[in-house]
Amino acid sequence: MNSLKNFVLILGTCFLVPTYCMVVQPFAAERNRQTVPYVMEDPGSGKAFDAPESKGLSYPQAFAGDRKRGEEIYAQQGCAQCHTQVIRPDYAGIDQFKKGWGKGGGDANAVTRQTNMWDYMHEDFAMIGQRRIGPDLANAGYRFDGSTTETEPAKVKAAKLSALNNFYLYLYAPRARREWSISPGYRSLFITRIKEGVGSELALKLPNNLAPAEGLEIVPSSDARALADYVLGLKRDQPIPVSITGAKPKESK
Amino acid sequence: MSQEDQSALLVEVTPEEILQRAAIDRSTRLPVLFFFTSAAAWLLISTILGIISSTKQLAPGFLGIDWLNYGRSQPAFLNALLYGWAFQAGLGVMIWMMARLCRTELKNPITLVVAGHFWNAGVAAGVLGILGGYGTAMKWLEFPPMVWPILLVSYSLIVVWLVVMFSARRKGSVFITQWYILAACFSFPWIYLTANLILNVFKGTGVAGPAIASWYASNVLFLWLVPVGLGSAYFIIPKIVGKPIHSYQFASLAFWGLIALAPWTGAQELIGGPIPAWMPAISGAAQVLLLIPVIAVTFNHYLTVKGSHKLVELSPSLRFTFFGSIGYAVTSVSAAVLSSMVMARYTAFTYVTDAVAITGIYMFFSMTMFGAIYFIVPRITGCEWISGGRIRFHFWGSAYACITLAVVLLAGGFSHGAGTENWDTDMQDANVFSAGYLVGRILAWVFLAAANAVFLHHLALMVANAGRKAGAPTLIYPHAPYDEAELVITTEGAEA
Repeated sequence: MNSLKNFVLILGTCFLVPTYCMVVQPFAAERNRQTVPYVMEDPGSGKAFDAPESKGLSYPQAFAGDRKRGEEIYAQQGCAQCHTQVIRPDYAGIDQFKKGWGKGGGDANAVTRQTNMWDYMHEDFAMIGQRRIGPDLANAGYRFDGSTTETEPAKVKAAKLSALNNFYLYLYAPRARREWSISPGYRSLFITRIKEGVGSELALKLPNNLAPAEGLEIVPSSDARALADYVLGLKRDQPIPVSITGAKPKESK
Repeated sequence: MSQEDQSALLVEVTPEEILQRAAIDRSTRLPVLFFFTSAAAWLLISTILGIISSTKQLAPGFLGIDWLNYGRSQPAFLNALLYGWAFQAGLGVMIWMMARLCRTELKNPITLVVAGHFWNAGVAAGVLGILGGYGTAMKWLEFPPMVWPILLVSYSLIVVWLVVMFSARRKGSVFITQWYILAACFSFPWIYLTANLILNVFKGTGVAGPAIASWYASNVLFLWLVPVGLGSAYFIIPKIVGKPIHSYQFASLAFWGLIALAPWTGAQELIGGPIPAWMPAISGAAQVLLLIPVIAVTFNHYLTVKGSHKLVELSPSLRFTFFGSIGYAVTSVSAAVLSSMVMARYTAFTYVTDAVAITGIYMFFSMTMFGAIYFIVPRITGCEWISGGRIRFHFWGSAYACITLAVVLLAGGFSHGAGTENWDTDMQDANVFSAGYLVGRILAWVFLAAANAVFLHHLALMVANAGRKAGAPTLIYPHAPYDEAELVITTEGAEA
């Protein structure tokens, strides 16, 4: 074994096989992944079907708004250093049962479904995250979507705006919302400017000690708005098509 | 590789041999010192970034500027430590040991220094890029996407000459250190090119992305840092102890065990994640199986040193290297613990991940590199280290800090994991449980910064030719109370 040629051959083989299995093959599988349409009726038996409200849709839905740019900012600001976006099955953690980590919001009985490969297929790099210092964000969209029982358009709009303002406040001054938070505030994603008239509806509603001087307002920059598009679009608790799970989904309440 | 190959290392020292070694040392002087000094400078920068990022985790308002937020200072710190310090220190050691073991002079030191400048420029651009908000989310690949071609090309330009040196080696047997160094020469371009092509060029990786990034990080640790560190330990330990490696067969087995198993590791970090279940299963199994080569290496080193343990107290090189060898065992055991499915609920996504990274890069690799630097620099500068007291301070500062970091990150990680398991408190419990350990982490980085500042100053004096010009080699304790000190003097120091 004292020849360089043999050494390189054996070394190359030792590297090549795992590189194919652990890198190239999973990459190819993700590149070839297709969205799965919800089907109302199984063509063969006519039995299995997805929920009627999903008719005509595919899973997962394509990105909307400025989400691509938001994804980039999420990466550049290092959000993934402290925030995960993954709901693991119960053998690996309590994720599915954490309060408020799924669609259920504050409902203590809500079980979040675990994330799967399709959930991330529109992303260049799935932000699974390196550590979980802050709350999981796999379903952060539900927390800030301002869902309400009201039907009046003005009130629905107000609820959505209030939820969005909440998100920007978290981003600007996390401790104004939760005093034990160790999340940094992202001041550089906001602009302080002179208030015009009643001011922007997106202007931060800050507690007195953080509020800007009279006549000024702090508004999210275009980067912050793109980040909001991204985070508010993180909704991975949608029903999975029957063709993936192979089982009829539970009746939704 | 066979038992006789050891002759490559413990060759009989003839006057001719001494002249030849001096010529080899002269030929490597420029690039090796270049890599060592720039590595030590990056080490100091990264320890300061380490203080900042660990303080930020406790007091997010500290220093109050966005470009030092934890999300940027943490990757900047880790990448500066890895690519700035670890890679450059490793390259310096690789060049010198390869030249010595092949008994060939380095033909083109200038090329290596030029490539080294490009490497430094790449790392600087990368670290500033992360701080400026152009980084990525990929583990250990957080440098902005334009940096990787610079690093890849300059690395290849450096190691290609090591391979050339190996091909032109003087007839004779090959020592295990050379195989380890060769493996490191080939492994980094392979994994770095693969990971960057897929993650930064092809993109659209979806959920395969984090699995590939974890594969890369794990491979940098076990296929680059480990080969270089172990190669150096296999050189330093027998040299100073003055006897051959306890079992060469074990060393050979451990080498091929590492090469065969390490490329499979990485995906176990995503246990329960949305990747095919066979990936974490295979990676976890490979990581646990890696304990076999680890046991072989650790016992081999221990048994080689056995009987000469007093040398560990006296010789700076041996003491740092021996400590590093223990660090290798600690790294591998904590990596194996992290990959167990039973533990995953308490360890995954917690500070235990940082514990593996820091024990691997610092407690094992950096300590081994310090040992090698204390051995090599007197030989290429022709003068001795100025003071044993400074070396002592450097050792104890680093050793206390490494052990503290390993303990607080492991314990803090488990507390954090236990806090996360409380279903109705979101992350509050987790953060409260682990806060105390984070204070310990800040203190450890302050210790390391002090130790590294002393080290950088000491090294700079040596490079500036201000070392002691004559006399016995510098030992950790100036007036050795042991007879064995005689042994050290024959193998340590500029004349040997």
